[in-house]
Amino acid sequence: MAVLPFPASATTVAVPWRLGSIAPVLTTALILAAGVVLRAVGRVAPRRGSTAGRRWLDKGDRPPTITEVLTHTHGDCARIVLQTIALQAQSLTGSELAAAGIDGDATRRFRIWAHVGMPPEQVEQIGRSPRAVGLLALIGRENRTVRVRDVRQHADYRGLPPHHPPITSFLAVPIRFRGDVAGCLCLGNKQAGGEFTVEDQQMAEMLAARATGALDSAPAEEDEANARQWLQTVLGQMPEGVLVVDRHGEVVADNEALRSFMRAKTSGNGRLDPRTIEMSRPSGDRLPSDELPVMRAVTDGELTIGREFVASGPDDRPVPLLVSAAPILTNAGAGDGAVMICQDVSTVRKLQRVREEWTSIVAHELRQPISVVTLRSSLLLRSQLSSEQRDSVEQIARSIHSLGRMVADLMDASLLESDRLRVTLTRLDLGQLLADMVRRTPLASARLRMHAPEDACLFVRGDAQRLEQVLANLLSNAMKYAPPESDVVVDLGVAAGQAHIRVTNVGEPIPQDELPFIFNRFARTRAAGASGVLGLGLGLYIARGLVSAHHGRIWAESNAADGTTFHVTFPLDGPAVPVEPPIDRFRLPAQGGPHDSPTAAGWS
Amino acid sequence: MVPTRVLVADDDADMLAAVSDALSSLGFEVMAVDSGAGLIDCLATDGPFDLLVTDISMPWMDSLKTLRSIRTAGVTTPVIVITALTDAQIPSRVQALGANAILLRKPFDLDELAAAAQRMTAGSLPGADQRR
Repeated sequence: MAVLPFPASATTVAVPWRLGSIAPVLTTALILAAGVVLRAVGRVAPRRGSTAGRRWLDKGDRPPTITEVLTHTHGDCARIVLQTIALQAQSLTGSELAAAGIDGDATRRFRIWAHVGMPPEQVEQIGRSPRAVGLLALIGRENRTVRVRDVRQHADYRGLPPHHPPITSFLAVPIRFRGDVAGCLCLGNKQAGGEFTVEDQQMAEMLAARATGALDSAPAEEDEANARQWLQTVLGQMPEGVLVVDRHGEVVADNEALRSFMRAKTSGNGRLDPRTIEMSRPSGDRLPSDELPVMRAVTDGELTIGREFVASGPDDRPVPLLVSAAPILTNAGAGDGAVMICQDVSTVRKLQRVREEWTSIVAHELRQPISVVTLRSSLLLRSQLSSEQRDSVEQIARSIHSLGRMVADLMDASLLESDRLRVTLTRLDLGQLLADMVRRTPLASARLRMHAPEDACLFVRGDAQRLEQVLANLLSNAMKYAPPESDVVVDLGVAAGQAHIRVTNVGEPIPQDELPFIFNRFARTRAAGASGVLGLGLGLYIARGLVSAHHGRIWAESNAADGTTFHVTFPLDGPAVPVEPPIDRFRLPAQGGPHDSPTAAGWS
Repeated sequence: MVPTRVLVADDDADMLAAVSDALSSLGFEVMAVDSGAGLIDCLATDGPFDLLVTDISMPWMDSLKTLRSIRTAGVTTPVIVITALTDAQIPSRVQALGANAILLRKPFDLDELAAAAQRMTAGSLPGADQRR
């Protein structure tokens, strides 16, 4: 399998399922329902050992092998099915790379290996499908799913071919043919550095079962019309709308689901005319026909994952769709058409609105009593209290402050998840913002050391309140996890043309196996859990969302020697503005790292 | 010295009492009502006030609509709008009430309330009639 994500300029990738976590659940239900229906009608049910009603080409009792079936079924039809399933798997699980392969073993390369997520030129550089060795051999040998946080740590991992992008998180499920493993559906690099979940595994296993059902119903006679009919039947049984075009952009196949929510004319051969499909962006702008995701996939090799569009339905009703599209590539990387999958998300939209209303009501109702307790405790602290009473009231005040923070975090996380978090960008002096923030907060303790240019101001476009929230979170974390009496160092500078903030604390490093996941929602390190530090594990998730809303980047480095450093970068709003005379708000020299300045004298 | 008069409106009895007590502790003379209708009634019968502190979400008519009506009638009393709501339009709706209106999001503590009240009453003469 493969895929470096496409270059940003050539890729349209939206975070899958930002409509909310209910979307995959709905899709799961749809897939399950489809499975039930398919089994009920007995069209694609895997009936192991049953050969009744089938005519095998070899005229004997031996059922055909997967190799023979692929020969009869025409490779391009089987590739379309696998490509569609790989694209569904990538979209539903939020992985960067997906591939579905069948008919290979330790000595023979997979006959079909359908990629999603890797640019065509990279597939071409790799140039061939893999053999079933290493982890792929394990899946075949043990006939089971493999799901790992870091594939490189797996005992059976044998590396990747040259030009293959690196893979960390990995999920692979077997695709079976007549009960035996015939191939696998592989997913790599869960987006945002996460790991694949049990739900992802269930989703992948259901999709692999769909592939199994399709292969089991493949035509036994070598006939192109049969193969096309088989393809049409398989696509027809999918709950999502599917459109497949050839390398010239002509429709090869579509399905009823697509026609049920998309208005388009049919040409003389009964197939849809893609040029008549009416699709708009959420803003209402109509997409020209050559801008349809499936057309972009054919012409530019562009990958679209989980992007929102609105189709004009057959009854003129606008239908919100979640659309994914990918080029169909041969094993050697040659373009051979494209596939587009559309999911009607009207129901999801309604549920999303309900959930947002619910979240808002809960937050409102919680804030009301929190406000009362906050005010009452601060009033009490102004009155005459004994030492014990004062301790108790201060404890109440701290706890209610934490509760208020958690409610705010839950609201922010909800806004981020539904893509409704808004920032108002204005031109800001980042050094001044840092200085003001630290002066206003109790964090401005003697432990804080600041480094920043004295002779220039760095301007960015930002939302002051939200940037403060990000930086306050990083400082608060650093204070929490640094040993008592040790310094927390904040550096502001310019790197690679960007404003670059580093927040560093010494002390126990974050374990390397936890580092890629600390920005995930509800992520709590083992150390945080063991230390009893309160929190929901949303702070860094929100920080990443806010930094991203500012077109910036956030990441962390941690090791025993240097401690833990969080890096945040933002695009500069113009060149640094020289200041004459130098600003004396920092006593520290502009040069030097966090630990090399014995003159560090703290915040002035 | 005439104390600075504040009218507080909130339909939550506990919140109304807490805000009223907090403002009293800061030296304000406080009157409290529990509805938008009460706010209008009190302004008409017990005014003038130097400061209004009102929750947004109240039965029958939210306070932003009430305040808009009051502004239209020529009352320019400074106002602190307090809310636990998160609607994205709220800041602009508060801004539309004029420069002497600010938003204070719940939860807030005594210091934040004091700072907001200080900002809104700075320069005003306690008890001065601000109706036009």
